[in-house]
Amino acid sequence: MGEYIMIELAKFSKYPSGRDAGDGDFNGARFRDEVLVPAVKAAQAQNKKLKVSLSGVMSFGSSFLEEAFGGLVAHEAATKAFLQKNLVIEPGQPSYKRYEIAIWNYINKAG
Amino acid sequence: MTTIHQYLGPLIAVIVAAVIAYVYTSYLSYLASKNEIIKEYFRDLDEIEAMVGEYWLGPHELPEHNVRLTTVGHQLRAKLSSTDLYSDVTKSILGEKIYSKYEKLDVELFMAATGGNFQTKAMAPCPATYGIVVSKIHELKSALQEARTGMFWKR
Repeated sequence: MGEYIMIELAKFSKYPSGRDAGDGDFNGARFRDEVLVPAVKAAQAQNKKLKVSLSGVMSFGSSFLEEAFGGLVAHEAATKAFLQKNLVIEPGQPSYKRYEIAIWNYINKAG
Repeated sequence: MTTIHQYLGPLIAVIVAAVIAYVYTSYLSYLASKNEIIKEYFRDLDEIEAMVGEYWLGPHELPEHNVRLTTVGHQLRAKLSSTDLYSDVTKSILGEKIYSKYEKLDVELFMAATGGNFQTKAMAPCPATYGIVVSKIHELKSALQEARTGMFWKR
């Protein structure tokens, strides 16, 4: 139960942007569907927690964060309760704490 | 011996006065440095307000403005990311109470300024979003002003 499935968001893109395919290649829906959802399923199957590191990403727009993380709940890929218990956001640096707070705001108000 | 004793009292008085002057001057320099840092935060917010106005009120539907508005969007995102809010220096400057208020407003500013249709193909001028963002910026400035006046006038 102490183990994590690790996601480094910077490996998806150092400059993620937009909500869906029409907004660019590294958009929120693609990150959600290709990276987050499989990781959530793996975490559920293996009874592990999920850790998402924001380190190495240059910046975020909150439209991307809402689509990616809020979208997990909105598209029913994960429940709020599951994410609150099993998702850890690692800011990577002090100034990225605002992104961590924004992610949780989107998860908590989704659905 | 008598000569030394004559000057000892005044000498001690001068030394004590010099130490007090040094300590007080150092304290004023310290307050001035904090004030300069807070002024930088004000300037950051002014820049963000200008970019937000250009981006959220700009004519995204007109192709000839695409390059400029796209550029402003990237600059806005980078500027928001670069504001050094979460350093220990900032916490010590603002104090716990004002810092927690500022942190909450900062996140709300980020979510409003880069949310919705920000950097999407559906992006269109949105005066409502602009109004919300400007309101958050002015609340942030108010918190900074509170920190600034608190440095000099304790209640």
